Amino acid sequence: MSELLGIRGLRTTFPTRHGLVRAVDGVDLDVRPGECLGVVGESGSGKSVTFLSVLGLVRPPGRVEAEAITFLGRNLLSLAPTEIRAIRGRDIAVTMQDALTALNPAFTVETQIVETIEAHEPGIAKGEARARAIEMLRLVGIPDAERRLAAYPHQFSGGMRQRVMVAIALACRPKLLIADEPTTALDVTIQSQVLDLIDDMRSELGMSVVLITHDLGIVAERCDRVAVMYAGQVVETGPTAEVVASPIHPYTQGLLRSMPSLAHLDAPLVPIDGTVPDPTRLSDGCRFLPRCPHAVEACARPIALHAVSPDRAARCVLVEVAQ
Amino acid sequence: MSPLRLAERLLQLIPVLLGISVIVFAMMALTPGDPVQIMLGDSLADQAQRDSLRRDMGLDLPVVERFFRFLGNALTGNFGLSFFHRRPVMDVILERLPATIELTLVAMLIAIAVAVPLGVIAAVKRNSLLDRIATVGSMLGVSMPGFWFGILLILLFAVNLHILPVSGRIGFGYEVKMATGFVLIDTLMAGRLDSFLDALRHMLLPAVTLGLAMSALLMRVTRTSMLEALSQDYVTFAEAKGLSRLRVVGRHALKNALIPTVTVAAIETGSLLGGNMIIETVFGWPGLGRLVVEAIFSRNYPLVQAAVLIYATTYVLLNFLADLLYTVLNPKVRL
Amino acid sequence: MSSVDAALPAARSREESILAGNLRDFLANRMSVAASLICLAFCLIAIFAPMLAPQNPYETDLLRRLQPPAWMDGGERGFWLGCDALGRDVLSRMIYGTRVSIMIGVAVVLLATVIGTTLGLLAGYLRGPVDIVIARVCDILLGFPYLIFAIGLMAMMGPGLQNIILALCYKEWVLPCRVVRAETLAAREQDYVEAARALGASRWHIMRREILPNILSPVIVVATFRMAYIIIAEASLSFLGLGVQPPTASWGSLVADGRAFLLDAWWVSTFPGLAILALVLAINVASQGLRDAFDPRLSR
Repeated sequence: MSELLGIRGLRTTFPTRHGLVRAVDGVDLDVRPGECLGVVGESGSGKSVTFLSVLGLVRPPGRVEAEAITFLGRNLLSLAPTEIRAIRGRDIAVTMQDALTALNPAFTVETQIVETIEAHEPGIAKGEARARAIEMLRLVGIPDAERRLAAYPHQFSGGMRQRVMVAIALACRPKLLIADEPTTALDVTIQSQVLDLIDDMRSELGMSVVLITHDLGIVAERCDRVAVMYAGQVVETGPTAEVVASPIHPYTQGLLRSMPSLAHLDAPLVPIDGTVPDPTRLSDGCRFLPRCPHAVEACARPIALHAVSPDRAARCVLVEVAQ
Repeated sequence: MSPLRLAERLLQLIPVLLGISVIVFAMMALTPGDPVQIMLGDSLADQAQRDSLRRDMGLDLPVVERFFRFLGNALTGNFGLSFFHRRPVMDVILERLPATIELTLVAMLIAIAVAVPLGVIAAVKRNSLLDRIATVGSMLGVSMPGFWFGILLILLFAVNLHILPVSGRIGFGYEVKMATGFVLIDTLMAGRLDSFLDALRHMLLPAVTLGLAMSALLMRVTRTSMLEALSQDYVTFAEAKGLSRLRVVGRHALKNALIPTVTVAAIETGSLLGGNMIIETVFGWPGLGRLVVEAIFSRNYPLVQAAVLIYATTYVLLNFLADLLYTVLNPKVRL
Repeated sequence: MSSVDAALPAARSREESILAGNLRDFLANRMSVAASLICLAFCLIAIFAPMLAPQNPYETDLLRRLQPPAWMDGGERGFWLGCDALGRDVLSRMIYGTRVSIMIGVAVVLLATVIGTTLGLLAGYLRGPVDIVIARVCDILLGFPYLIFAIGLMAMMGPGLQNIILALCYKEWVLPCRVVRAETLAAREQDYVEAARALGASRWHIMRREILPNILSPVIVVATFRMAYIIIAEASLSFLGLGVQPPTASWGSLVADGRAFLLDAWWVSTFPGLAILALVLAINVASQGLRDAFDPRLSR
């Protein structure tokens, strides 16, 4: 078994006033040891919900179903709440989009780091947990760490706050970090610092990283492999370099065309026509059909993710036809 | 809050309190009828006595001067004489005040003890049966006329079941010497457990009645702010850290949810001050509220004036306190 | 920006009038519709009181003193909810009391809303000294706790229907005033107001024709839920004997009438109080529904 985390047939639904929202609809994904997987898609494509579902953090009335979610060979679906809680934060850690809202405004940074350590290492001495907290703040590059421990989140700058959140997430040396839009809330100048930090931590701690983003540019720059999501489904996966060089799915192609490229500064940016489908009225066929320039009649029936090569797959009729 | 900011807030209170005293003064000044006539009622005072009283009360002075005299007197706690009691108004009020404060505090304690846990549970178990019952209950509590609820309680517990007294503060034969004016404390200090329990029995119905509306409101505020807190990113993040449910709900969410709850509690305590006029009347509670109602009917205007001013000042100060409390509790505001 | 979001204008357009949608939301809430119907029923009772009351509410009959309700021993058909200490029919007095409660509630809320909205518009639109003066007065009036101000006024002015309406109004306009002021401050920066100003519309015209229609829904929401408060306040004043004067029946004074006879005649106090609770509860539930449908910011 080569993967660290394996997701098979994940479906997450939310009942709403306007009908059932299928936020995640049949997602298969693997995260391999030590790799950085980019998950790209626009807001509402289900990329964040996918990983919240993995950790059992979807709130009622949301419902999570899957054929299997395996982490290091254990099926997370069959674990008791206390067992999954032991995995959260210790084996799989999360950072959220905006540290300002993710950190509790009513507690000091010290409390928020130390409680994480204490939750996973019960009986640890107060002094030791504190020393670990200081060490983590230093590791993520917070100057004057010892003094800053007593500060409240709002007393940090945006970039520093994001670092604090990374420090909390990494306090127990997880094997997998899920970084949910780590740069969206930040100034452009600070974005790359935070991404560099995550890269450094990855090599230092030898962990895997899932980088959730809507920015294909970041993925192209930082990730080993990429999974493109659209309307609750994975539409294409593969090594980043190959996917960027020769996208298979028309949606991926559209994304790349709508993105400025250093190599072809003079090439016009082409936005994708049409809008995202209503999440309560998703069709069984290809969800990109209404916007797809290559649509054919066959697109209206259910389409599976087809392997194109051992490492690449796409959810498109064109692939089926080619085979 | 920095001392400077505190001073600024305190300064902001001055125009409000000044405005309140203008209004209270104007209420009196605009009352139809001759104050001297009202005060003396049917007594057989002759014209010379009336004139001297008029001079004593400063009624011969121009309005502006009268206001400043009133203000100066009010600041020193001098509200004139209560003819009805033949004593200074302030003495009469001070004598009744502890009963009102005691009742209000106990009502507030009951309200908080009921409302906060209920609000938290209702939010955590959203849409559960308990949540629905709590929501319906708080709607009922807010819609309940306090005086009628008090009467229902008297009907049930005093008239039909005979387990609690109808009115008063303490039963015949249980009286103790008043030291603090708070009967619950005085009975304990006197070492009279029987008296203490009797006082508690007298306290129960009025305190529950007075606390009902407040607990309904507090429950709602707690539930809303708790729901708000539970939907925040920091709760998801806390859960993603692998913390126990108890810690996530009881510490991360609750601490944030309590900030608005405590503020509302402080403000509502002030509002109870007005409600207690009615409740004290229903239960024959010898506090300031009942004193004011009696004073209105005996046309004892100086007392009414003083009481309204005291109520309003207390209310403003309590709001100020709520403001302070909010600042102390909320690290974000503490700059 | 090389982002997916920038590439995709993701807007879901569902064309429908916002107001119609709100109304549909409100009607979909069965509780609030039922509550509104109860409110309507109370209004009808108030209007047709003379036709509905089985007895003359003012007619005393010492032979019927504290007569129990019709279903109890000693009760009598036609005097369904029993009689008070003067032998007057409790039900008929309650039916007439509905008039007092609803009339005072409507009058106070209407008056306070008109005054508060006007002052709020002026304060929010003109700003400057007008705003400062109005805001100060609001602050001062808010310094008086629940009922104290009205009780003080009633003590000075003496009881009576007009006085009670005035006493409750003096402070009541502050709430709509504050809401309208805040909404106006926001609205005056909107494009449609800028446009009207650019076209040379007068200030009065802008306030009345441009801003007012756009801020009406919070005003209506505030007005409905204050109605419940006013009805309780009036009942409380009348209970204390500071409200309407005998022999006029008000729910509050009816409860007070029965207080002395709790031992022998529980019905005199109980039924009028139940009427207050029912009406106030109905108004609260209905206005909650209204709030949810029209102004989600004010509720949750």
